[in-house]
Amino acid sequence: MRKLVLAMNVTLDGFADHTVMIADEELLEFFSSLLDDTGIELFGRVTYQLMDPYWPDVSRQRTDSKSTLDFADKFNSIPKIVFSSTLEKAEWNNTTLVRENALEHVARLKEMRGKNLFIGGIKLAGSLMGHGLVDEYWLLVHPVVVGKGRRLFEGLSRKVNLKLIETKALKSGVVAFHYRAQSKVVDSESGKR
Amino acid sequence: MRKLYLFDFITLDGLFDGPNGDLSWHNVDDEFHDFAIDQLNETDMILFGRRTYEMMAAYWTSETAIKNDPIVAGMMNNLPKLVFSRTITKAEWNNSQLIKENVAEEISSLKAEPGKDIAILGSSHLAVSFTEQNLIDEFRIMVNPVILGRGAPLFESLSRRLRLRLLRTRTFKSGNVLLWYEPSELK
Repeated sequence: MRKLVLAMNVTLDGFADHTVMIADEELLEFFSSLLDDTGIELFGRVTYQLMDPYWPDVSRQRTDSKSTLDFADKFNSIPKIVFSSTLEKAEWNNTTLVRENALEHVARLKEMRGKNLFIGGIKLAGSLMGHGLVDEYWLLVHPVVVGKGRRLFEGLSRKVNLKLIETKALKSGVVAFHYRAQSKVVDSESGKR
Repeated sequence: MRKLYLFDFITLDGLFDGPNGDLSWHNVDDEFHDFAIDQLNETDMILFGRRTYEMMAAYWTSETAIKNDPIVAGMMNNLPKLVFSRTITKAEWNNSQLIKENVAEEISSLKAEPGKDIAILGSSHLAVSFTEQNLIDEFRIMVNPVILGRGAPLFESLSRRLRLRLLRTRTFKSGNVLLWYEPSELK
């Protein structure tokens, strides 16, 4: 069994607006360190297309800071899966396109040995959370209030109770909250956990 | 100048209350109770919007609250309070006064008076309006270890973007984390 870890940036008021986040060196180093414990990175189509070709370009051009390049190099080389029924092909390095149901596929991946599975998108993450498949959360709360936009966990089908493991304040005022999922969801049909 | 601070509970996804005003996720324990007393000891006036005012007035004057939580009940009932509303006609909770207009002037003159801090408790709509007018000096946000997905966000429909400066954090044994911020840029 391995863990599925979700890590995301969020505003203090719960929005996923990436244009207001503070992506400084310390934040990139933080995400790089999470990648060190990651075996496979999971994506839905939307997040995948935000990342590719952005990160391959960063690695190729090599004009960004050292932290950015370190993150980009790790991110580009790590095994990746994108779940999509519409995407024709996935060309990002070390990426597998999976067309079958993400929930079943992820449940199977979790049964295997290995480093953590890691998820960072919105829609796919919401669906995995709703089915109790996410084991740990890293929420990076940015010191900004935006009032409107896309809510990070909008439409989640159930309440998720968490157990706080630790917090870490970054110099930028971002606070990283680390939680463990409080309990597994009981499957309503089989009664199995 | 004394400080006007906002103190509110939110979920990890930034919600102020759940569907149908559900507040059952509020994570309170003895440690929080002690904190609440310390905070009220540093406070000599409390401001409310209408909805929180009515809820708090009903609760803190109830026999249950006075019996189970006499210290906080005593403080809440005795401290001077202002309620900001255009719809109610009088404020009947002990030591409270209704403010219908000239809110910004009222706040500025209150802050200029000597005294302890001024609190806004709950009152999410009032918080939005005061934030937009740049009246709040400190935001104390208690992040509870729960994600609800549905409900009303704190700062709902804020018309401006507020950048904050993190002052400090405190982790409670319950898993709550209190974040102290001051406003840094409103645009």
